[in-house]
Amino acid sequence: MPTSSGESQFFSEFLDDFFAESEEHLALARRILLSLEEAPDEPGLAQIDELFRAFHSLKGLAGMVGVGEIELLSHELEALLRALRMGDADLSDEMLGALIGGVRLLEQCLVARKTGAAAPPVEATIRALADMTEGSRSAPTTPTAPGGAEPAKIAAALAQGMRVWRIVFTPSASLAERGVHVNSIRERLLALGELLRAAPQVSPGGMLTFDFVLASAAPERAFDGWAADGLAVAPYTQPAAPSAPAASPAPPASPAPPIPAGTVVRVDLERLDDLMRMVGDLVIANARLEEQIAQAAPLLPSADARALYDLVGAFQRQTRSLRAGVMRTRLVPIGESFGRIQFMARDLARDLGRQLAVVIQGEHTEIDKFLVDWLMDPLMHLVRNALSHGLEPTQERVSLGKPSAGRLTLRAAADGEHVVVTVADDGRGIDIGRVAARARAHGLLAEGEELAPDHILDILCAPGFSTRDQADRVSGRGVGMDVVANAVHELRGALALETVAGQGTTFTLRLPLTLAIMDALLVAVADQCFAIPLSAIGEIISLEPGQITPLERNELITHRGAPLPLVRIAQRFQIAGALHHGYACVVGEGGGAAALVFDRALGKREIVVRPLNDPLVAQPYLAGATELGDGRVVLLLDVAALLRPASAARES
Amino acid sequence: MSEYILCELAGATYAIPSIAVRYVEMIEQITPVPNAPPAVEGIVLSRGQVIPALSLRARFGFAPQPHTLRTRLVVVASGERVVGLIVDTAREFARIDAAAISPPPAAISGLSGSYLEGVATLGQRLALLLRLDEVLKITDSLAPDAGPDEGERDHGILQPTEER
Repeated sequence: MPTSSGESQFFSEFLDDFFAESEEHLALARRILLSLEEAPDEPGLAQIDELFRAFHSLKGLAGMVGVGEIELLSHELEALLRALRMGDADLSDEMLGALIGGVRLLEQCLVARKTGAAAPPVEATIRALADMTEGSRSAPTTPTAPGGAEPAKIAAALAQGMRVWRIVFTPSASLAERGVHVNSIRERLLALGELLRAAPQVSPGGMLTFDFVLASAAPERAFDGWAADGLAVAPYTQPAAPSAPAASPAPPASPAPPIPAGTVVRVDLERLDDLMRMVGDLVIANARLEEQIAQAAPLLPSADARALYDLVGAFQRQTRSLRAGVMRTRLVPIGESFGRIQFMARDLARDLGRQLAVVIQGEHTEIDKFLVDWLMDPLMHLVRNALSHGLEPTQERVSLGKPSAGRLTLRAAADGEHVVVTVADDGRGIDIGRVAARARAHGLLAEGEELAPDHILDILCAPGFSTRDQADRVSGRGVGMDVVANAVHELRGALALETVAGQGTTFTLRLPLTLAIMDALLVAVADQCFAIPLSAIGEIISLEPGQITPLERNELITHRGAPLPLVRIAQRFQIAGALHHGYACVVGEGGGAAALVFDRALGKREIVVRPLNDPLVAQPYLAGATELGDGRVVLLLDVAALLRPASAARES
Repeated sequence: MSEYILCELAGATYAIPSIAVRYVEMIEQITPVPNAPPAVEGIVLSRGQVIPALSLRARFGFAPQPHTLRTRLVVVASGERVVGLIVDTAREFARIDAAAISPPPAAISGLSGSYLEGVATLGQRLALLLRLDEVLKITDSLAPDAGPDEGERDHGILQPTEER
């Protein structure tokens, strides 16, 4: 937005609210369109009404902040729905497609505005929508035609004997120096009468101007000399009516339901981040206090020491509940992301000419707002994969005796400190033979080496690996599962894959609920200390001599009647002087479980995780680092990465 | 006329653009990072941040030397990255006139060519001007051999995650 500072201030105050509210209306529109698509034969009038209102509100919002392309596009969508409401048209498949396309374009426009990118071209869509609308009107010609000035208000003002003026203010640096800026102009106008409209407008040249409509009883000479202040004053004329129905007002929509009284507060995510950081600092201060008390305790009378311990214990409990409280404020239901993904999936299925049934489960599961934003891309990618690689074309499905519509399941569930999100399809499953062949071609798999099932995911996630020779529109270009794997890894989560030939593929993402603070077990290996996320640990066992069975390059123990491979931290990290029979913690699940060996446990701690993302120190087996409050830094292990088959790990 | 922080390393003087230097401090505790490039001594906690500590001695192929009271950590910012450079000592600040800087001698070949911006004469001695982005670059000779499953990810400069 090329603006000078004063105006951009005025402008950005509106924009955040505009984005947030627009998102809400779009989410509603998406929901309704999805339900219409499920049952296209019987669109309820209520749904059409709601949809109409969503577009109408969007148009109004966009008009207020002068986002022309969104205003025009919503206007056309609204007109199409008006025709539907009046019974001038029936909801055809084509029309539904056009509405869905329109909503997607609106999304893109919003994103472009948010990121300051160039707006996507909307003219073609607007024309197509206009053609579709009954009475095929031509599209409005001037993209900055002022809409949104309330004709009723203007009529009322005229009836009261006032005159209505349109004033355009073009700010400039020299005017600002003289104290003439949009706020002073507003004051000046308000002194003369009532402002019916005030909207920033961006001219095609990128200039920002402000468009005011003023109803005033003041005589024309009140405006004498205003041109010198960058103002153009003209009697207001109604813009050429962009739509016929606007001239003959449509029957008023049933009033929008009142917004529930203010129980919701919108908070900037950054403020919550700040809070989380402060809580993190508090956790560290807490740990230091505890340590100091432990050092001082022997010097104190025991009653005093106990009182101090009690106090610090209470402080710790309070800090914990504060942390839980702050975390709760950041949680949002995952449902909206699912809705967005579902929307995209249907759109894509339409493009591919396939039938699709989307099943959504656990949409009320709450996850951190930050995670939601991060998850979007990987989930979209998995869904695109499922549609383009997983689900068979309709014909093929029918001949296989499967239901003609492919099934895509999005599921979310909370699991203690984690949230588990799955994307499943009932398609053809991953062709292991083909993946193996491609892996050999890429040099990821030795000739003659078999592809072990638990190694498939590593291969799929190798950078640049794709089983499609040409990137089609659907799977994007040259990016593949490695993007998903990286995103999950950045979030310190785990990715798992299950696939059955002919029956489908399921990807499971397991993510920590919060990124900043966690409970960890501190362990010693020789003279080094490491932290292991407590949530990854099943139990801690002591290793006895004679319990360990060596097997080629591996070691096994029997635990609860099942063999369990040992993973020695000392061996993985080439640390000399570690115990051979220390302790181990059982990590991982089912067939992927292992015992992670260390010398001894030093205790459980609540830690504040610091990312380790500088390329000098970023390592796949490290989830980050943490400070212990005494200046020492300890590495936090990424258990999932350590458990990868030894063949994939670095061994010297 | 630009400002530089001067560091000593194996008897030579190196100059780092002061605009890139956040601060210089003593080194307390370094936590080693297994499998990191050999020149990376580990990570340190510095003013509330966990940052990598890179030994310039090792980076430039000099013999290691135990840390002493004179050893310093020069914390530099390059793009999005913040890294601590371990030097024998760093105590001086100098303004160097562009006219006093000459390009690196053509005879210097191999590695050292890429991270030298130029050579400046400061009275009786020479100062070698460093190119930080080159110093911090992970070259293949710096990085350990990557296993098959973690290909290029650890080499090129990773995009640091956005702190929000």
